[in-house]
Amino acid sequence: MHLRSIHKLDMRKAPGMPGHKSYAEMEEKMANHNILLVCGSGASSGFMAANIRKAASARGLEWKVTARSESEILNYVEDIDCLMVGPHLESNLGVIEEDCEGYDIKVSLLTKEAYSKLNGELAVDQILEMFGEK
Amino acid sequence: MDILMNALIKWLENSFAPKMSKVNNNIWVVTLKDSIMQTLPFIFLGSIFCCLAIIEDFVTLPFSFWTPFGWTMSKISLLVAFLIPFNYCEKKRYRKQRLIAGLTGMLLFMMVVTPEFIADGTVGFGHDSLGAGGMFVAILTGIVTSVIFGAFAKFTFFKDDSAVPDFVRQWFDALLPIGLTIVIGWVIVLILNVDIYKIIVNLFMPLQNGLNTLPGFTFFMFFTCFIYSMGISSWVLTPIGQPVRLASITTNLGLVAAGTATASNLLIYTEGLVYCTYMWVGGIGCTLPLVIMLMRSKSKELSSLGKACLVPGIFNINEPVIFGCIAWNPYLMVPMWLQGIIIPILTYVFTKFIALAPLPHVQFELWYAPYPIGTIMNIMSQGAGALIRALIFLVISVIVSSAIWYPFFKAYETKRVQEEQEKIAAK
Repeated sequence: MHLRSIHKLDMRKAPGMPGHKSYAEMEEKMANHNILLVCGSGASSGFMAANIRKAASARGLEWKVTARSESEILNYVEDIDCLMVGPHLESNLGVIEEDCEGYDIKVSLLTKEAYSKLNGELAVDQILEMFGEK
Repeated sequence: MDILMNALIKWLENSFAPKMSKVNNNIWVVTLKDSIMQTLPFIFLGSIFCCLAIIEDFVTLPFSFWTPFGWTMSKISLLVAFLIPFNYCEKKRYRKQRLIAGLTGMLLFMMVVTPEFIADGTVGFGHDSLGAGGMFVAILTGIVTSVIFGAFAKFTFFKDDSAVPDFVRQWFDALLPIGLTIVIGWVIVLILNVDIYKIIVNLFMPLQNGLNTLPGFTFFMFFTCFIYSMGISSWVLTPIGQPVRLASITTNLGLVAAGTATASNLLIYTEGLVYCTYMWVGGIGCTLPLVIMLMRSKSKELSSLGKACLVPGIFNINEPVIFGCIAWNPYLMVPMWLQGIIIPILTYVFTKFIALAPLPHVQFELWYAPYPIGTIMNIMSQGAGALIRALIFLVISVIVSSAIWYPFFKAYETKRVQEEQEKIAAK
């Protein structure tokens, strides 16, 4: 049993009670994601990445978040499991998804709401939902 | 008025944006764009060396920063010549060929620029063609190499059950595309003496000249603001814009070195001018004044948006404010388009017709640097008088830009405040 996951257990949800999760299930759900954010040059996504890191670590999530230019995606496809794309690259989504073909990577556009205020919380929520971890 | 705007926006959404999507997903656009953008670190480093070289105007050093400048900024076409076939093979999933394709592309490029080297007669690697001057040539040799390698990627000399060992097969299957590319370069350039470099430079001369005229420059700046106002990244224009910008600054540096640079013969369309010296303070469309207006707004939403956009805006990063309130918002798209028309014209007039604002004599392209650092770095080599004039023009430009934003911002703010009050009243 990892001490790290104990504080995430809701102690009221004992075995047999609704909403109970075993330690193993808890471990599985809080996966360590390796996330790449891309925008044109890696600049605006850099600000976003910093805010996502802040929001993620405040929630006790151990994520790796990197921001780069979308011209560098192929350098990262072997390491990441999640690729978040700046909304201004929506019309590039076709090639971006092709780059990720064959790799186990969830690709999605960051929402305009999240990107306009560089809102790390909204982005973390979006990523958790993508992985079914909310 | 509202109906007209909404109709226009619907049309843009339904016919223009999908076309941009097609363009953005075209493999050649992506390959060229990525290859050029992957050399950005070298361009930024070159800008830093260029700044340091300014010191040499005041102090004599036992070496020169122009040397490392030459080995970074002035080699990017050579780098792009490698990167285009490399990236093309990556995108097409011909991963096995990507390295030899890139290397062959680089060799073809060097063959094509050989006549220039010989004509120049200087010892060593210092020729414009390897750097900013040769970008269009690097693009062409890159495409030719990519097409050849792409055609041969599926081909093999040998049958699957051949007794020849795998690594030997691989060599032979590589020999054909490499050989074909090299022989083409050899025959055309070195035997038939067709100066491909000159042909390509002349072919793109109309484009280069055109984008440096008042109407051409203004149109291109407007188009950048236009697509960006629809939330479409303007990096797609890199394969066209970047080679022209680089060729322009190379020409300008040549004129400066020869001592013959004047306000009328220097070219305006350079990265340093548009993104670091004047014009786009806070990002494309000169959005920093808008961000400040947002921060001080009576609307709660807008002021919190403004606050979030301030720090990126200071570093000339404006995706947040574009998506926060400009993209697809008729109230702010229109002034964005006006920025794309009025500011370029203003800049052109006051740098070339009325020689108030000096054009840069150096190549500083670190567009993340907050204004007026870029202005100072680009102009200070021309002395204090020039710098003061540059800063005066910068202030004028920002005032004009703010005057464009203001009425539209006010109209938008009124609408938002009204909506917020209605929400509160409804509770």
